[in-house]
Amino acid sequence: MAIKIRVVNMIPQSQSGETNDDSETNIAVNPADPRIIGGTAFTNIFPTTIFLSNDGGESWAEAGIIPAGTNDFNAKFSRNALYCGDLVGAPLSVFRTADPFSLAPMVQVDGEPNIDQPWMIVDTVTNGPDTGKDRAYAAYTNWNAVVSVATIDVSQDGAAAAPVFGSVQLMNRPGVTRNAPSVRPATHADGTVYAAYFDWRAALVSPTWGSTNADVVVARDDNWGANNFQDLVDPSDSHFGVRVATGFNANFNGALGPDRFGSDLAMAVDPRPKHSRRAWVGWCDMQAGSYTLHVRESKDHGKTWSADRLTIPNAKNPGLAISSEGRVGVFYQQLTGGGTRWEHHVQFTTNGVDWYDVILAKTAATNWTGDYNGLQTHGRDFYGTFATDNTPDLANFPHGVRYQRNVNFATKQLLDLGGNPVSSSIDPFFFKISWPAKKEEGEERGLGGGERLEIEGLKYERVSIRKLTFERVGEGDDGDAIARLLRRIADGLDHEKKDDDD
Amino acid sequence: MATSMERVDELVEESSYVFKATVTQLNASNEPAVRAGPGLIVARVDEAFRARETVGVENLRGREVTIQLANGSLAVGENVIVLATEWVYGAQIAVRAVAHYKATSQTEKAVVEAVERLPTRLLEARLDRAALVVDGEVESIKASPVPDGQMLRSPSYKLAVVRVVSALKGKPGEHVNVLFPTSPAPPWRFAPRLKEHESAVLILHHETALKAPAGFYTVLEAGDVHPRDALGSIKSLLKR
Repeated sequence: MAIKIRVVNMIPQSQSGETNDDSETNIAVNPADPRIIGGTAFTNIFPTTIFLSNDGGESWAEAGIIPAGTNDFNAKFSRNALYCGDLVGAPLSVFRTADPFSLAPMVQVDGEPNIDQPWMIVDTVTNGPDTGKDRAYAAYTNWNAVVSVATIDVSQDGAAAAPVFGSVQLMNRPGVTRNAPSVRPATHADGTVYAAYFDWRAALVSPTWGSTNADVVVARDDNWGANNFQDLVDPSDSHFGVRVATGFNANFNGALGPDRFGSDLAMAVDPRPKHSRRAWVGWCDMQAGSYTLHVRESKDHGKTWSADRLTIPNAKNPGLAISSEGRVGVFYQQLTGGGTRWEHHVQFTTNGVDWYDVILAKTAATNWTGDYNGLQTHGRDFYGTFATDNTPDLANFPHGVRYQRNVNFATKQLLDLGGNPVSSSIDPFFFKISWPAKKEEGEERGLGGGERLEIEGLKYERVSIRKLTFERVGEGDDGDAIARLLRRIADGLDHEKKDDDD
Repeated sequence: MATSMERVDELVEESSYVFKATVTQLNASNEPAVRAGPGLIVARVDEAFRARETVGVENLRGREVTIQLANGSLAVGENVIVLATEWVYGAQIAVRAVAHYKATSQTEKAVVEAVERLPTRLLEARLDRAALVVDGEVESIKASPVPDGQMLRSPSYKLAVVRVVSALKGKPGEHVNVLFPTSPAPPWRFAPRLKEHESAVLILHHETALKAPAGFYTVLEAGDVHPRDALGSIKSLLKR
């Protein structure tokens, strides 16, 4: 499979001597220019820095442009600005800059007094009367009340000089004790906005404060959040938001290797025109004593959900993103080696059945890596970040790695600015996975002939195709179509499989 | 225009970098992420007095850095003493000056002395804020009686029962109950993690935000726990 995989350690050369655990990463790719990328991770620099790249992630600088310290933060680009949701002590601050490379301090545009885990999503309207306006969503759990409540601050014009944000509370079911910290919106260009969150329905018990009876809920708004996320009603109880899974053990503050867990959640929507009905959600819960990642798909605007499309034991920090070709990427880190190693995976599928697994790193599980990582798409490409042990051992990175900080790969040693050894720690890593254009993809898959063929993880033998030419007319998913055609050829069958996608 | 020396102690405390440098370029930057422009200079560091530990004083010396001036202007070849905060780390280092002084033997002496005074000033302030200061030994580590783990930023306290060898400030009993964070996440990443049988000088505080019961003290920052060989210097500071 001729995909291109690039992994880059994000610590700049001038920070070669650092030994901080730079954990809990996220990523922001500028949709107007994907060479401009932001990244977040906890560093030991205060006030807070953001990682910036202007060459597509090949090189990074840490820029002190966030005007406050942080307990939790992440950022996203619209076409107009970079937004950062920042937990400054207990309050939320949403900061914004139109040009991060101006290196001027970001400006606060929204605030809340007492919250947990801010999560920023922004999108620029591309058609209709509001073309050019930024829709901004700062998701969090609201502790202004006694318990934490899943909430999204929504602005219909986030790039305005003084944007107005309104708070929308997602939790609306009786009997819910509280919501977990993570709330994950996902936007589509047609104005559909999904939001996933956890309802905890059983009493929480010290010291873990997790619920043994938890649900994962997906809410939807069909007009950029203006309908208060009340456009998806669960037919079984008539409340807003469909329950994708119910009654599981959330085990908040549990331990997976050196990491804690308990609020792992991801949400994505297919960005292709007329595909907003195709949404994916991922979460983790306890299954037979193992913290387990589940990934499910809806093809009907969140009304119904599949069984698990992917189930991964001993995994956390899921990320979900869908490319302009409808390819779904699922990021996660999995504890292996009897609890001693992290494997950082991205798995891809176009049909929810056939998966292609890319292992980005296999590293020692040493210190805390954080409560989430980043995954985002731009066109066909997947961009992401993760935090892991920074020992410069090429065997840890199956697809290679670039370090900016001083290292000696021969001795597997980090070096400071004076060439002295530096102890290993947790660093943020950037990755980009580039998929070839469809035509190239077909050629790379050997459609010109050959005895063996692998496509989307499916293996074919005794393949004999002397010539296969085709040209797609209109919109559609080439990956699915090609896979179905090849299966029919391989099976010698001539049947039609109903396509229930758009 | 250079800054007056009146607030040099405060300015040194505010600054993560203090160095003497020679201006090599005006309206310029040597860091690719920083666009050249007015108010920026590039200077060669001739002597470094304070630097981030990730860079180190030794590694700052001789390096060219980009400086965003707080005020005034400088000429190429001018020697200055710069007090600055971190701004950009890339292939090179860029800092924001909070003050700069014309480099003379007098200003250099004043700044160097302020840098040397800084650790003592910070420790004095910490001791002033403390409810108790004890020389003690951690006898046991237990689960915390304080229900604090409901949020991602909660400290996830554990309880250290400390036998008091001697009281340096305040009047504890034979033992004190000390809560310390175990959460790996901010804001507790650099908090001290006490261990059984650890002997240390503990600078103890009352925690009010999390409603710790009466009689429970906290150590929340690395500077709250000192090795026993610091006992003499802490005693002398408390006698001032």
